[in-house]
Amino acid sequence: MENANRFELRLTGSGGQGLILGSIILAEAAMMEGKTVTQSQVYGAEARGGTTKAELIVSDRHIAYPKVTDPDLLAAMTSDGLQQYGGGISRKTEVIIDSSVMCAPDFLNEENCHGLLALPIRSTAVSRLQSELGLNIVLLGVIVGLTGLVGVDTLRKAVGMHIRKQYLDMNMKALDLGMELVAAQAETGIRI
Amino acid sequence: MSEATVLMQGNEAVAEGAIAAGVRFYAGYPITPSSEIAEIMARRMPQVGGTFIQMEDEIASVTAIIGASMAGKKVLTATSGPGFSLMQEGLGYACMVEAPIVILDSMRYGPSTGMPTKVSQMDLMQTRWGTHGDHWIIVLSPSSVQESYHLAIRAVNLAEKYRNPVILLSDETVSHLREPIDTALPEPIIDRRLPAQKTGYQPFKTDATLVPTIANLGTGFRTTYTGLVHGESGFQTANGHVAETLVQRMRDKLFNNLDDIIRLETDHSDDADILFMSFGITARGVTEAVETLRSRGRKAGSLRFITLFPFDDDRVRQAAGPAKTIVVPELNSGQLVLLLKRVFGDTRRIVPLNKVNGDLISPAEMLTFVREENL
Repeated sequence: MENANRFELRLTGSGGQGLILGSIILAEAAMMEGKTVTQSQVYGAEARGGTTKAELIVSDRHIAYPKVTDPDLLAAMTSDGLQQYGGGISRKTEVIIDSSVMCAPDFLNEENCHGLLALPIRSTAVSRLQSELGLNIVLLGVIVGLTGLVGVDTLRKAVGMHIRKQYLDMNMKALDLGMELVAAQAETGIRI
Repeated sequence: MSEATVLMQGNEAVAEGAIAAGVRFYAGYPITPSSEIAEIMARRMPQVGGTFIQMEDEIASVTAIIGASMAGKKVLTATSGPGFSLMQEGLGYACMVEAPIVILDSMRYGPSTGMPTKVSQMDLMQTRWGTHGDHWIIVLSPSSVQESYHLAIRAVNLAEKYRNPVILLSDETVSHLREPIDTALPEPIIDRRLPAQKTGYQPFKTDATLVPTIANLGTGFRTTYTGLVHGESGFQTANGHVAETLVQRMRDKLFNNLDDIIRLETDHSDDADILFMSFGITARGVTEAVETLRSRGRKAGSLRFITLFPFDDDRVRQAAGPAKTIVVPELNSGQLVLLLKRVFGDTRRIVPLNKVNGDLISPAEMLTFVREENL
């Protein structure tokens, strides 16, 4: 449905990466800013390692159909995730892929998406945080840096609601790293 | 949004709604997509002075809540298709002994273990006819997280008021969906009526309400109950007249109160020429499809079953308005549509729209269907 104040987001990757949690944190941040949201997910029977999809709709008004049908943003953290849930994108969809685990796929081009942003998300988490665990929060930093979907301070508050105290510093750093990735990319102007 | 607005998952809303309604006993066997309810109740029951028991299977789960209910607790169990199949024997028993129980069935793809994490609406007829014999069940169907909270409260209230099993029929999508909800109490909490005095106490004797005032076990009353046909004393009999009276009373205690029990939601049904009839998660897509059709000048409308059973033909006919065409989208091969064909016969064009691949029917698919079928 056409609505300028509606934002549809789809995250896909591998079970265990925390993408569902990431979408919940973003949902809470949007709620704090007075928006309404629906957050949903698809996953397999595996405890971890299966392909997952997390979806979030943020809107100023009531959301009837709760699933993403016309994504404004698709972020793929694994190549399997992109293969399985990369369908349904359109000229308005901004696509983010993790360049540290995959190459830009052939089927994405100027004709079928708004833009493709390849950022080294996993390798940044591993090299700068010494942990893969911050990957989802780095991605949230990327998303907010790119779209301004929610305020950074609000997002920090929402992260704090879901992350244990002893890991909070690491996750705040992860947010910064994500936003830095976007800023650095904007500076160089290099897009794939 | 009010202060009480929080982001909640459908399953969490059911658990919190049940607790708000007074549920203090939960026995269950976790199964996707209802497992979070067991997980939450394991944590929450001790916090509110209640009891959580993980049972060995779903047969034990349903019989445990029947026992706890007869001892005076408000009770809940939660399951999905495979577990709900096992609960059918206990469900019939609960009807017969008039135990106020609430079972949440979160529908996943079946039959058998099917696809545990995929949505369906394939258990509709099972809620009504899953257990044998003439019996009556109240079935409520939420289509949002907020409604999961409200209907959990309502399910407990109706179970207590009419001493009847109530099924809360959710689905994988609503169970796992997260939305903002307001947890301010929407309706009063209803407690079962209890007998006033021991003299002349007959557990299954009723007044004009036709709902018996059975004493809670352990409160000093002599109470007998059985799945066998029984008279007002609760003792078994094979007397055909007593049997007939019993079965008719169990029907009438609900059917004399349809105004209280049945909730249908309509949108633009008064002038619609095409009407979508649906329940649960499918209705969310309908809302958007109707909005789009209206914006294009088409007189579309919708009717959503919040109460699925008891099913009252007259109320459905009245709510349907003048629409000549009725589209029935559902995530099964055609179950709700059977009831609607019975209600409307040849007076309207009834068109099923079925999807059985584990995905929802999107608004765009509904619009395409209307166009391609020339509806």
